[in-house]
Amino acid sequence: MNMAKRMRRLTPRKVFWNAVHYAVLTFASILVVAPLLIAFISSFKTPLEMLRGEKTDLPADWGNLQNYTDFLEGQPVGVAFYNTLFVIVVSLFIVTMVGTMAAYVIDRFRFPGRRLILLLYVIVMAVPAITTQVSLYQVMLSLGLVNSKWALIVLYSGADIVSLYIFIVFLGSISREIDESARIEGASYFQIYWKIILPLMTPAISTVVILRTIHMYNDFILPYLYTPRVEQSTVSMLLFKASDMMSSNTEAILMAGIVIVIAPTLIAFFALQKQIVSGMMRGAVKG
Amino acid sequence: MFTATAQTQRRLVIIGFLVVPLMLLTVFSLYPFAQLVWFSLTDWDGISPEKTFVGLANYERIFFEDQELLRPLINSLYYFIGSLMQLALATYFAVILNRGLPGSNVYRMLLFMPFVLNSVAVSIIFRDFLQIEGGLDALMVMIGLGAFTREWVQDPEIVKWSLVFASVWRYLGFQLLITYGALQAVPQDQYEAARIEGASEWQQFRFITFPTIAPILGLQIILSTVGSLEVFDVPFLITGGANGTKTFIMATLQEAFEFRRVGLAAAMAVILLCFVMLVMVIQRAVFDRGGTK
Repeated sequence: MNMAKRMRRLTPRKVFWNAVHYAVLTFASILVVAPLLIAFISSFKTPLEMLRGEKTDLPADWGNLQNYTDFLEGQPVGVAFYNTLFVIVVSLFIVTMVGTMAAYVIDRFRFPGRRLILLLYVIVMAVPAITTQVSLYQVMLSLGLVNSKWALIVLYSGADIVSLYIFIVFLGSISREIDESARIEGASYFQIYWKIILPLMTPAISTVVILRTIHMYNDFILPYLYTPRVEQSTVSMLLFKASDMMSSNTEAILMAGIVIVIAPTLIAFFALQKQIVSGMMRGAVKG
Repeated sequence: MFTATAQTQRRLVIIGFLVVPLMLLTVFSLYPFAQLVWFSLTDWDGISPEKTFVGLANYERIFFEDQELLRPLINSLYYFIGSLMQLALATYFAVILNRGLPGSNVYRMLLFMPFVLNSVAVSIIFRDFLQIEGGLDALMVMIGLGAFTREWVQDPEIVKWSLVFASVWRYLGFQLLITYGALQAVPQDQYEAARIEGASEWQQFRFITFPTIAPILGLQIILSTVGSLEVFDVPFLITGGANGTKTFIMATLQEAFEFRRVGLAAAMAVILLCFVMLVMVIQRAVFDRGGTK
């Protein structure tokens, strides 16, 4: 039955169109992968190979890790990764705590000023962050935060309205019955938040964690403006500075650095692809 | 043991849970926003203690006197055209991947992958890829298109499209994913019914798929418009703005941090902000009229 149905569906026309679709998809995928693959290949090449051969030639020795050791020894790789991890973990903690608390109060309580607060958030969300950097920079200067990784932390967690929005929308979709009955049984508001609301918000929290981690690991503009020195900055600045210092005959070393920065993302991406994709779809449509 | 009355407890929670977020909102969003508008009315250089009020002089200069200042805005047009092509492509990919052909998941992953990669890393990769005798040229030689290689970054006629290509490369997968998400809402039995009725693939798209995803596509066009006004990373990291590839954001930040004309830069930022707000207002008007909420 199933077989017959299949056979009926696979008309020659259909086969032709499927072939066309596959061809286009394959072509696009090659275009996506090729630049990455060439960078990867280059990271194993000797200076001579870089100079003489075509970019698409394979390295003679895949075990040549000279570029990797050169990059690791010549650049502050350890400190950049440490800073990146520190910024991500602290910011995620602040965003999660502050965001879920604010969402709890804004969604579950009616109080004077609530509409005004919501309005302020809507206005701020419409203002593109990149336009206010000119004046935000002065604020950060007067707070003494420029050139400190805390600048990144306060901006990634303090100016992040989208996450708060995700929390509010998510909480709005959860029935109030559970927290109302807990209230009747004598739980305090804080207990309700801590024991009921926070655990219920796990899906929204994981969406925010995924979206924000990707953003913080990859962002360039904030590290560039507020932490120009790698000692206080993330992997973005590590690569930016390294590429400034390198010349065409050290290109392969830079490619090794790029592989070092990209590798953790790719590993996480393929390990968690289901969560990332669904988190992205949820977050993006709402944001 | 201290037990607060319900009323006090309620008040404590509301204030306690909101004080930090509201403080952050004020210090890092509202106050800088107010400052930006104020700076744009002064001739401040970013250092000197006094800021002289100059009224709308900065705006006059941008609109009427110094034509060079607005010129980078034209570059947004390239990214806008690019983003429309990108949306068309992303929709096509989303539709065919949604059919569940074997291998769909692999293609979806590959096309989405660039979006999760570090901005600086992919820009440097592209800078090398587009160089003379770089990766792209090598690939073209490999498949027999060696005669068509160009100076992708050095030729001022071509470089803008090269950057648009880099940008499409980076963001296509993201749009693909959003459209794909919207497609999940189309009931599969409608396709089944249409197939039994003998509807062609195009008819299925035109009458079943498109009406469902139209609101999301509209939203994505708005986001693309806003996005093309705010382009920074890709051109800054690949060409540094050389060869006429400077975008308006790059020009604004350059005025502020390099030339130390904070007043002028603030006025440019306010102008950009007004454009973005205008787009958003148009979106609201169109969407509310369309009855999609």
